[in-house]
Amino acid sequence: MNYFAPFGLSLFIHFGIVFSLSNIFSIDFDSFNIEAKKPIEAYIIFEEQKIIPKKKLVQTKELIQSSVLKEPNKIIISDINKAIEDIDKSRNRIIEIKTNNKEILKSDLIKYSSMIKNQVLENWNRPSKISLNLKTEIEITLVPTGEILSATLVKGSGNDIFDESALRAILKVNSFEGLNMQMNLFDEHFRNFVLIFSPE
Amino acid sequence: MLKKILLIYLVLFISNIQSQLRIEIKGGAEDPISIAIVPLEWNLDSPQDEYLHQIIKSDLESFGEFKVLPPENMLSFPSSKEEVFFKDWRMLGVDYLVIGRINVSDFSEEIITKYTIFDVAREKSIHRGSVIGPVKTLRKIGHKVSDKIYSRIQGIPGIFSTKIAYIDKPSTDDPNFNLRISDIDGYDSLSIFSSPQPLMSPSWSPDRQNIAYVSFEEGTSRIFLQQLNSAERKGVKLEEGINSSPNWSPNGDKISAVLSKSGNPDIFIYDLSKDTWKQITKHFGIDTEPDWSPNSKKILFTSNRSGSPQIYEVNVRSNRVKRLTFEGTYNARGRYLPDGKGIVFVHRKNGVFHIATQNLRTGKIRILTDTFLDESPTVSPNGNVVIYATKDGDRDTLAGITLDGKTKFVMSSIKGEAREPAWSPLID
Repeated sequence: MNYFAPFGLSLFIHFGIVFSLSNIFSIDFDSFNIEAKKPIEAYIIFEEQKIIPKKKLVQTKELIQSSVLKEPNKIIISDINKAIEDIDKSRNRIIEIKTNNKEILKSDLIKYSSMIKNQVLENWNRPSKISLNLKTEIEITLVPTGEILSATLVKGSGNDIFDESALRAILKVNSFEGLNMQMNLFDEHFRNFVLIFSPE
Repeated sequence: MLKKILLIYLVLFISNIQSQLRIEIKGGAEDPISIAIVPLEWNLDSPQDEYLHQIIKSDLESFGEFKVLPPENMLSFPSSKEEVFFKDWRMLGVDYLVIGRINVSDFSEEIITKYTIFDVAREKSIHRGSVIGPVKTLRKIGHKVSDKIYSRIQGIPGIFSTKIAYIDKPSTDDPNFNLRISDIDGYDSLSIFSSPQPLMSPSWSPDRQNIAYVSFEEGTSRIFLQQLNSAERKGVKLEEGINSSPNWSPNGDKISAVLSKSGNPDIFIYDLSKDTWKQITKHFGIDTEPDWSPNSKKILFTSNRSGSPQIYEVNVRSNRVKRLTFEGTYNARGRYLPDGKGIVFVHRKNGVFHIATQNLRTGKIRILTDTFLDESPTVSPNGNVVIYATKDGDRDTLAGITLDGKTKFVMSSIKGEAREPAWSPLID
């Protein structure tokens, strides 16, 4: 009798359970580790410069990118040693940006989430005669300008009036202001996200 | 088998990677809802002396829950969907829009009011309805439309078509006691019984067709039942001593009341079909002011058995008594909220009588009113408003407050000396 196969199976199943549970409990976006999920390769940063509309860059980011990312263009191939040195230098800087970027992403995720939260709250007038433990989940699809493409009720609260008030709040927002974020951050988290409405 | 498990494992793993950003939004404003009631198109030959949109406006604004856009601020007066430009109404900050038409109905002497409620943000009609009635009942028609608007937007029944019964004490205008019924705004007041001897404690039957009350017309207190349509009245089986405080059970077949035939006032139940009384509480203290719980299983009453007036609850089947109020030395005249989860009562604090509510689960008391002598609270059938008797100078009058304590109002259109209000049940 081979005991190894069932043991292996059990190992697989347990890993599966652990992973699925970790999914359920990682709701808090503070703890999201973006690096771990999608390591940012150096070349992405060069791509990024092409994608991001200029006016949308935050001042500090613009400084870093203009001072550093333009550097490679200046490499003079004739001096091979200098070229290697330059490449090394820029690589170091890229690593620098990478770590900088990671910080910006984390704080940006919180920043833009709370921007969205505040703008929805400003427009949300909910019915007052309701049970306080209702919960409605609405999936939002955005375009990079902040405009809302669609709002879909994915999980109703059971109280239509409450659900309607949440949908109405989103319709009233119409377009989120101030979401000037990097494209990869937008693509990964804000192109499609869920708003959870609860009275308390 | 192994492949299957691997597949599940893979699916779980992938779902773990693609976890979506979730933003929680808690709270939300509970501001008054902004609504526009466009003056309804009047397609009758006779001129209009009352306006439906004004009746609806005053209904919706009476408890502070709605803010109605005045017609002079409107950019257009649509009466059909084609004429509605949602952009205009959004610009005016309106959440909901009501339009409609009043036409002569196919039956003579009657008008038909057709109306539509729009959700302005979603640009769609959320309710369409019609109400038929004689021209002279325009107020009633307006209240009906208000009820529909209210229930569609707030999610709980509207109460503008309900009635208030109250006792009108003798005044210089009328030397008699009157049992009156009026709209909840105090209009259309009608005396249904008049007597030179005191009248007390009106209570509605659940079908809204009958009222039970106490009359002293025979020299002693006796409970009478009166049918509202036929004005037919009959006295309930008279017992020795006090016969007072009738309260109709929500399922309609019984009336709880106070009798003193056992030596001192106790709570009894009168069976309408059997014409018999059954004793529920037995105590040497005074038990009075019964009120049925919404499920007809318990009765709330006031007793001084602990030395001071406090509110108790008795199980009708087991006759087991439970004390509910413990705060202060005077808690009386309790009434259940329609959901049965709380009570409204008169609470004395620092020598002043207030209307207060108590959550029956947590026992927490909340004082609603702060005038001097508030008494006899009665709760609206949607559990949203309390009307109570109070003093306006020397005059007895009725006032109200929403249960969230936010909006107060005085029923200024009620003339005379009004006491002991009783809110009718919902009908339909």
